[in-house]
Amino acid sequence: MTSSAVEAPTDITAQEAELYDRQIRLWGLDAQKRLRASRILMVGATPLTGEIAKNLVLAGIRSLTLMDDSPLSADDIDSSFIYDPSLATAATTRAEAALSALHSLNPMVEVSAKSGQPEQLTADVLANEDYDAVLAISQPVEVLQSLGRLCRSVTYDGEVNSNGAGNNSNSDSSAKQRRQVQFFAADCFGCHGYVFLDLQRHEFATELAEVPPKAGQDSSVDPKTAAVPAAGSQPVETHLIKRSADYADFESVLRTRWDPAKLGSLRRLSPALYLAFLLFEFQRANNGARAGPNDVDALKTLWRAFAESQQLPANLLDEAVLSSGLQPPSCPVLAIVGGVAAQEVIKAVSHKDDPFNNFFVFDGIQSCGSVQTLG
Amino acid sequence: AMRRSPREVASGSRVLVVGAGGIGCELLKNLVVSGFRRISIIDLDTIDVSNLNRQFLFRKEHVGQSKALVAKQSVLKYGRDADITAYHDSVLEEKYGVDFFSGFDIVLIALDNRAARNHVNRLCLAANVPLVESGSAGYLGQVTVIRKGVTACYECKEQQKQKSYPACTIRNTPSEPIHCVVWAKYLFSQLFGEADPDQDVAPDTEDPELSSSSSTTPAVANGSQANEQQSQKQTTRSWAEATGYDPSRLLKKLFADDIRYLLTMSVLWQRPGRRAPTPLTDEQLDGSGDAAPQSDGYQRDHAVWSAAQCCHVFRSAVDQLRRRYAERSSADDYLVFDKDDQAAMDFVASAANLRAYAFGITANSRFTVKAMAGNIIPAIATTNAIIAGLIVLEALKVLDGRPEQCRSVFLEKKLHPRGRIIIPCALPQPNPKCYVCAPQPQVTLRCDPSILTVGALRDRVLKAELAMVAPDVEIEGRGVILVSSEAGETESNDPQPLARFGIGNHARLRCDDFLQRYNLLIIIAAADPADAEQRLPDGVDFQIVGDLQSVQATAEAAPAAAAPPPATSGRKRRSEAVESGPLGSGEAKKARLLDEADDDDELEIVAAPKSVDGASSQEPDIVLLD
Repeated sequence: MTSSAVEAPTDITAQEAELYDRQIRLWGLDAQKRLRASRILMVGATPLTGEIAKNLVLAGIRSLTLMDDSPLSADDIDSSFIYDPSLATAATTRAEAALSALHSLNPMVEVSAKSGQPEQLTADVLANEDYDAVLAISQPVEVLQSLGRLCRSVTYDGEVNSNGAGNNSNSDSSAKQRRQVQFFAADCFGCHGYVFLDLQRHEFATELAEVPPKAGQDSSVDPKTAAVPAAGSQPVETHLIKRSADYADFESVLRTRWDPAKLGSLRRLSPALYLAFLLFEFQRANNGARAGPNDVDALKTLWRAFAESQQLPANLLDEAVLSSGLQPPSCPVLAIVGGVAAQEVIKAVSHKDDPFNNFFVFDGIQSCGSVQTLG
Repeated sequence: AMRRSPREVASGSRVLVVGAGGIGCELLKNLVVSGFRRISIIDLDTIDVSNLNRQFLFRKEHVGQSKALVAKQSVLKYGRDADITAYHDSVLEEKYGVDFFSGFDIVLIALDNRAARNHVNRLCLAANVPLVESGSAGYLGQVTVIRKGVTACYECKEQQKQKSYPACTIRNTPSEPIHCVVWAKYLFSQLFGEADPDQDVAPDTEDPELSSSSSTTPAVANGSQANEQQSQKQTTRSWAEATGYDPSRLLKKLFADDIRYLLTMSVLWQRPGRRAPTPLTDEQLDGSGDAAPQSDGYQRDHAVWSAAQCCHVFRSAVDQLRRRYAERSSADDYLVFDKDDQAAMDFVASAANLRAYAFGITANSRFTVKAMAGNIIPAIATTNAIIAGLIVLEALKVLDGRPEQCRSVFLEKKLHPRGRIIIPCALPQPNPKCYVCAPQPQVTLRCDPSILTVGALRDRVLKAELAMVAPDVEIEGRGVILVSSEAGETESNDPQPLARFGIGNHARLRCDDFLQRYNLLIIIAAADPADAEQRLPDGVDFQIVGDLQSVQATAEAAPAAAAPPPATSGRKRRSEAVESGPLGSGEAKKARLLDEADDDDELEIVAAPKSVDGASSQEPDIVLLD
């Protein structure tokens, strides 16, 4: 990326420039500054949270707030690197137990725990605490529904100023900016996982590569797949363009109707996608409880009913896949889904590049990750 | 039989992780949390502050310490019962031979350079240990599994060559910023470093383009000072030493006098589309005192300096470097270019930009020049996190006795058909003619044995191109050792051309690297200069040729990959050998960008097989799954 005119000195310190050098060279300085101003709330401090949070903190966001009053358990410590193992016998919450590791990953990021239940969050709380994004991690479907609605109900009407609040917007310096709270949901089930995004109306910048006009063209760069020049070559000429995309709310996505007329393409989708929705159904039918290995039969019954109601062939989801989603999440899958989720959050809060629209699923049997637009 | 849980599989396995950088840190964390208990990790590198945005096992206070050792200390704090052995060492060392590798159930590569990958590939083949190979750069990454005799090895397919530029482009006719940066780095070496005759910076009178012109001796340009270096046949360094490294004289020579000299080679500038350079003016070169760029580090780094500002920076950098060079502790303690050294980087940035200005090429900020000069690869935590997760998934399949489920997996930036962004593909089949893993590996070396020396064979062919570390070479059938890996035994052979030993067309050389257990037969094809079809390209003094048409797995995308079958022609055998393209070329006159990638992960990405663009109705199944 070639630099534009020199920026005002308050924008990035030498220390930050040095630390974030390798990522600034990828997504650009503007994106880094927006990251640096972003405040993020994570509801649920599960092992998946640990993976996502690690990535966001390393990226250099402004603040990360964790909300999870569940007591820290031995199982939690066993499944993640994020909890302080010395707190195993202390009476502490999962959120509290994750703070020291996150803080030490990047002391420039404010990391804190917020007590309370997700139901206690209101539009005022979100606005007053100035969150740019809310991430609902490993939450029951009802919580996803209410948090998704909540985020959409918040609009910031505030002046853009230079000391934090409201400066998450683009360089347009009009006095009043309406800003939204971006909503994300993610979870892992067995060796699979999903990431959901609702960015309402999202504006972002993206780089269009210009193919160099003559010999000396670096043929190792394919603008369709890579914006990263090969080592030792010169930067690909690019220019930034502005785009926007509209996102569906979580409710609409939950009500997705799978169109049997498109059966061909439905068969090609990963069964993990259907499994994710089946597990939402299970939660709805069981008061938010997570399905476990003992629920195989209940899930099979539920699936048959679901498939019938949507006129889908029952064999879109077989027992082997179903069972594979009922084990506790595996560490490598947490890392994969955590990496994907964090990268989408980074794109969204930095308004750089097009975030997934809107439902990503990782299938750990096939090692396949894909995005569908649902709702 | 009861299927073991992933934890049970993990706890009984012995794993070697090669590399403790971006992927290595994520991998070590995954392994420990997944229940692996016997882990070895090796890395020769130390921690730099620019690593800390993603190599999360390291903290600021660890800068300068060993990556492998600190990584181990950090994961031990997770409180698992893991037995971790950390080696702050190069995996190329002799002590990490086949016996060492045989002690593991699986090897995971998390490296940032090709030479080490090739070496580990060969050792895993020799020890018959499965290998999971991976790489990442920016938003992209990939993972694959290598099993001897079952899948392609790392070297089955032709690897993307490091970009290199012809010497005449660097010295005479640059057209892009990168040519200027390469030139500036060579200038650094010529003035302060260990000078390499292949890295000359002065105008090149042996430019092939010149020999086609009617006037073979360019007239000396106006002014008696025009190219005194040329007339006295001095090296750049001796010229500089004679003038006391006077920055003003350096500036005038490099950016005015030498440019004028180039202009006298008029045939170069008659080529359509090529722009003749303009010598910098005295005004630009003299640069007044207040022409310094902003002193604020950030602004200074990101602004594009004017020519006058470049001169200011150049003078200051030369002063510092000259003093450092003069004060060096011993005669051969040359300065080595380090992109993180302020003066060295200032020198290269200012020199590159001055040259760019002279040639009408876009100038760049120091920030941008640094990426070019230092082979910096942008890198982030999330890509490595995803790749490291995928590595462990593949490793578990191998360790659990389900290798048929293994895949090559690609992480892309843009969505593919079906919305895919993490894309599994069938593992490639071994190339039956692979010059490493085939039962009887062999290649043809096209060269002129009356010119190519034994030393060049060892250093440029066997070590640089073919990634041997300690080769031995024997002339087949005669029992004559040409090259010995024991120091001192065959040194006197080095400067001799191969022909001196009776090596001519069709000669067979048995080369082997004992450590890698790698035996390669090289067949000499002496290029007949009179035969146009056989002649090596200009400036190239050898070509390695092997048949690289890898056997295509059924699942790999049909349109993208397979090379067309060789065209039939009169001399069928020769054309078959050449058709698939040279494996590698050593080129005496071509300048090589030899720098190793730094601590960052090297771009080792092969694009995922593409299916037909566009319409979803045409989606071919690129994956053999279901």
